[in-house]
Amino acid sequence: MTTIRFAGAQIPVTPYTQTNVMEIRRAIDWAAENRVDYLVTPEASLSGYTKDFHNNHNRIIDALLEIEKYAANKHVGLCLGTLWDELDGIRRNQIRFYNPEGIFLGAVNKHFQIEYDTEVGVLGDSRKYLIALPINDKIIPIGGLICVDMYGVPDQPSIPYILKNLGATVLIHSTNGIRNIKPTNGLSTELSDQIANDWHDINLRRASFLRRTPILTVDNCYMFDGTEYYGNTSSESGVLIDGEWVTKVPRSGTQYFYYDLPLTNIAIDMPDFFKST
Amino acid sequence: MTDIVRFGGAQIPCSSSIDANLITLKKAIDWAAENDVEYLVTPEAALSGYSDDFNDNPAKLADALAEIELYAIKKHVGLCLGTLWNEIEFNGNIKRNQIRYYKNDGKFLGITNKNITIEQDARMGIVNDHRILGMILPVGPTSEQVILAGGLICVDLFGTIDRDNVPSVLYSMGIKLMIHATNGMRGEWPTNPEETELADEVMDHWHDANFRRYSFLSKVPIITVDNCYMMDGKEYHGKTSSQSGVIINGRWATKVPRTGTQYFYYDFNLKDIVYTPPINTDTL
Repeated sequence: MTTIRFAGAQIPVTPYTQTNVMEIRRAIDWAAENRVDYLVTPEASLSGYTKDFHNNHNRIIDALLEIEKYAANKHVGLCLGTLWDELDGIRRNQIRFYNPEGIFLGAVNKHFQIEYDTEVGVLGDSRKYLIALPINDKIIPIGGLICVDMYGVPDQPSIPYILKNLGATVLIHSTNGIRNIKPTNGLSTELSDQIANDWHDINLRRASFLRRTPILTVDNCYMFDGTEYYGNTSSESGVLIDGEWVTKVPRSGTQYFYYDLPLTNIAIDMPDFFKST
Repeated sequence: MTDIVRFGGAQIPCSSSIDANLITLKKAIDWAAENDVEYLVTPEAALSGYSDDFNDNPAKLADALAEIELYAIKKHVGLCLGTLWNEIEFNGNIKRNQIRYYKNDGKFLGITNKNITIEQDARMGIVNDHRILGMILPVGPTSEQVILAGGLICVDLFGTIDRDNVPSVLYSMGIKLMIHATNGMRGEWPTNPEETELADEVMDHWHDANFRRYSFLSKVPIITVDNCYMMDGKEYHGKTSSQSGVIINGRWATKVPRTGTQYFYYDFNLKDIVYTPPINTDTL
């Protein structure tokens, strides 16, 4: 095995868990058919990005169990975006990582909490760490970023920079950016979307260029809050390498893509403590 | 009372020769005078040049500054002049990368220093200045109205890792105009020259997206001016590192071609940018 196949599913993220489960299962089917090793989904793709997501947390637990089993049966690893009530009682916006056998590898939480996260009751997590994806006798150190973690906020450290310094060789970006919403400054929605799009695009390109780290990014294709929408996503979904898009998909509707990353560029020797466990 | 204030920008060569820069600046002042410009903005280090040896002859730089000051007075042009400078400060003589502000009658209004210095600044001994200051610019013949402007030099506008976001701080201070003098890297990507074309393209889009986003989010206009030579002053006829012009509410209101010497002006509606002092409650 000289490459690893990562894929992205630009899918609708609705407020309805059962609808989201169906969308993710379809994406897993596609991934299995295309021999994908790890499938990346948008931010909050299982739970939906809604203020009442926690009203029926048992339903989300059941949905997660269903997706975990389905992906393991199909032998597809997951980088699954969802809101989640952690065991410590803290609500997180996170990416959950599973290997193709269904083993849970860990989760990374959103660092920067935006206003909407606050309304949803999600807390930002200032801890920065990597997820180790085992492959053969090596590991791929993955940095996980959710939405604005990639673009940064004023007076806060750059997360892509920190993750690169920690040793990340691939950045996984699950997002669900604002789109088609009238900005509060009274200027036009169209201009707002265009400026946000250009801002996202150049941040993704610049981070992959300066940090020399491939980025896989996936956006929701509905509105931010799950309302049905057929316009452009907030940001491009695809893979960037050294500042350029190497795969892209149309900007509206459900779209899948994959990319084969050479292991020589991204896998490192497994540390001894990993071997013993 | 005047209704508008005219700011000009001079995208000019910033060479490593102070003599050459003097001639270039005088030509820009001539153009500004002919076009009734009230304040002319120059690129970063337009007088001193942005070269390692700028400080070899401080007396020459001081003479050049005095000459430009007198010339601008004679032509009745206010200046937002980018230069490296040995500043005499409370703690002694400190090298700064700064914008010096002069009214069109020659009155020195103050300076803003580069907040976020880069490797090239450090090599020249330039010290960053953590203070983020607004600059009060009087306008009109009687100076009865003022603008509270923010001065940013190069990366101050684009930001860096782990440092204050200068535009956001200036916005919080209530500034109504951002003045950006820049001299970004172009034409030679130091870590890998073979990637220069891609690096220039990525950085160009990065600059553009920042200008548009900050002006859109803040609704504060930005006037930005770049050097048209290489960063270190070598002759260059390729594209500037960033667009020179004026951006308002996320759109370029005026732009100039990306190569060579280019002048532009923009008439700001004073009602949009004039400074309204806080209400003194003692008088109520």
